[in-house]
Amino acid sequence: MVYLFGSWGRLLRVDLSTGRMSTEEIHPMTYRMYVGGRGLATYLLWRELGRKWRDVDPLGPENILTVLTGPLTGYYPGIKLVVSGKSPQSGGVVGSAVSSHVAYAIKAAGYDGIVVSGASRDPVYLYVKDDSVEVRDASKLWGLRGLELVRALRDDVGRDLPSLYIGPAGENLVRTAAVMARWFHAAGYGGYGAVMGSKRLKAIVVEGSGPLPPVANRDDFAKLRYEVIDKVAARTTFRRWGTTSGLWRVGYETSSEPIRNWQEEWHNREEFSHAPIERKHWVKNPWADWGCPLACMKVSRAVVDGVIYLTDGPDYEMGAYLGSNLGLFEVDKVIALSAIADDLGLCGIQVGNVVGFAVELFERGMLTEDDVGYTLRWGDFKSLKKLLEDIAYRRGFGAVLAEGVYRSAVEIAKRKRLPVEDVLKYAVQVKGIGVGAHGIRSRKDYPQPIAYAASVQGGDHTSVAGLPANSEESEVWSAFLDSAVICMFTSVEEDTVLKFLNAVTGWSVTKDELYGTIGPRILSLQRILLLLGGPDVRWDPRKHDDNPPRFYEPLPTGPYAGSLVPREEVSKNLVEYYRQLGWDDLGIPTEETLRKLGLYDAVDVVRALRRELGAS
Amino acid sequence: MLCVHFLGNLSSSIGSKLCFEVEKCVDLYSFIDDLLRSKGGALSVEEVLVTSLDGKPLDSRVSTCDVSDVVVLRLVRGG
Ligand code: SF4
Repeated sequence: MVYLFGSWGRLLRVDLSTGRMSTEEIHPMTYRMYVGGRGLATYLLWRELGRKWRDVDPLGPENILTVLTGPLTGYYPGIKLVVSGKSPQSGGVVGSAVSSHVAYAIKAAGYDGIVVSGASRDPVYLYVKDDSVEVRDASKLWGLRGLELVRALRDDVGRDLPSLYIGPAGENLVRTAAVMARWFHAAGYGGYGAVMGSKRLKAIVVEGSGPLPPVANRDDFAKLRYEVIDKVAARTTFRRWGTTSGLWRVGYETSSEPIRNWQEEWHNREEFSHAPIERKHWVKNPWADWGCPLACMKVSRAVVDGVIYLTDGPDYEMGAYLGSNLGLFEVDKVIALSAIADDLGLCGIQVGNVVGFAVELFERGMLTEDDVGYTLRWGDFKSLKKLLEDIAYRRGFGAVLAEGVYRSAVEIAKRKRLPVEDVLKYAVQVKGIGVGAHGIRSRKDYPQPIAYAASVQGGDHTSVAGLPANSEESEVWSAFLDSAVICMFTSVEEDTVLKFLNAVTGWSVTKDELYGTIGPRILSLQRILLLLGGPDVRWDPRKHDDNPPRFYEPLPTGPYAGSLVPREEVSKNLVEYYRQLGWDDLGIPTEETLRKLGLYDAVDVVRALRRELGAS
Repeated sequence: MLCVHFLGNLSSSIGSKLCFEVEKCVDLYSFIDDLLRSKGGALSVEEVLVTSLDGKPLDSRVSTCDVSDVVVLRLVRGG
């Protein structure tokens, strides 16, 4: 008998095509191999869709949407869950983490996660109350924006309950749509808001009243919980300023903030520093996600053209992508754009990335008023706001940009009869995913030169690759945090996190196992599915395991002007990183590695992939 | 003598190893905090992990006189 602690070993499955609901038992050994969260999602996707992966339309009923917790959900300070599926952005698997009380509620309802397959004909929402699961009519909710929706859901279920939901962007299958939570939180990377929209699933509301699953070693767990709370609570600067402080620090000090579609990465705009933002805009600080002692969130408020806007922070990524990246340095307007993106259910990073790309093309004369319908200008709040709305509703030129930066570049090249590389060179993305707001050229920020090029989640700044592969610098660590499912801001050193995991689960995972098998197993499967891609994108490692062209241009301004990343260094480090993970020079897991990781059923897939790429 | 070893991107931005003559015993964490700030990495000690050479996290009570080699790596990424 193999016992399971920390997880229930049970998933709720809902097929929206047939209305069938069931529970699926997951074997304890599967948890031991994949942990939970991102790892378990990758396993499920591989098991169910792996053989036909290329033909699976991420926005078709055959895709599955997974909403998973991990063994540390509810035990480790801070709260997250991981949304996944076949990504409409990369064609691979992205573990998209979001802070949400839904994570705790799912576990308290007796499940480790929810897996949604099929697609409903009419708009619905899912209401889970412990054992009782209902697919409810959402025709009155369809079309509502975030804030109105949260209110309407409250009226419908009778009180405020934790929920995940989509805005108009998700309904309209916009590839940069996020799965939203608690007004301003987003699972943005991957484009899973569009996957929910394709299933006509407006929201998932969960109420759990039971206990959490049992813990293996209660004494160790209690001791470690206090130890982690002490460590996390000592991060007083982060608690005070959250990620908002990045708006000044990353721009001015590390010179790695996107400015006007990454044409620059340095600014000295003091209005972007946290103290004036606190003074003028914060109406709540600190603000915590469920049970989090760090409480890094803030709520900010701004009034623009007589309209009141509320958002968090703005947190660094939203502020950078909907501010400096669009040439907008007026904080009240940045807050407004951020609130608009939240309300429309757009991922602020991905939409800020594609809008910055469009404005640069416009400035260069590669797009005109005839194409867009109006003039685009850096920092022009009115046109930027309009473009965000046009994207969310797929109106006019917004429908082109709704495809995300990679696919828009391909489409614009086609329309303009330009070589695709001439347009793609302005798209700051890797494998269909806009790069997060941390540049690599100054080398003062955390991502290494191969951070995005080698990531199995493309431009995702929360899942970056790095050397050595057996350290917290590597993507193994991010994959692990997303699988145990803890917030990266409350993570502490690996020894303590592993002890915590072992106390909760009763396992004896060592660092060697984490870096030698568990992490590489998850990343290898993600990598294989990413390279399989399809149906409309295919990535060749020789071409696409690379940085956006812009990152090879020298920084034009700031204290690190002239700094760039040499291509030779990137190529050399890629090979070294792959080697350390047991992959070949193209980053394809070797057969020996797959066998070592227990991925026997991937051997023939990888053999075919290698043949296709002409690799020996 | 106290040598501070940096891992990952910190090693390319600050250097892989910096050594200092320790003139007086001060709190190790404040020392590392000052060092990080002086190197323009926009990092505070809250965002890094300070360990011994064999990877054991060092307690915040440790002083610069208690250790000769410490390793610093970035813990909090993203945001
Ligand atoms: S650290 Fe911040 S983002 Fe993470 S769970 Fe706590 S409040 Fe939420």
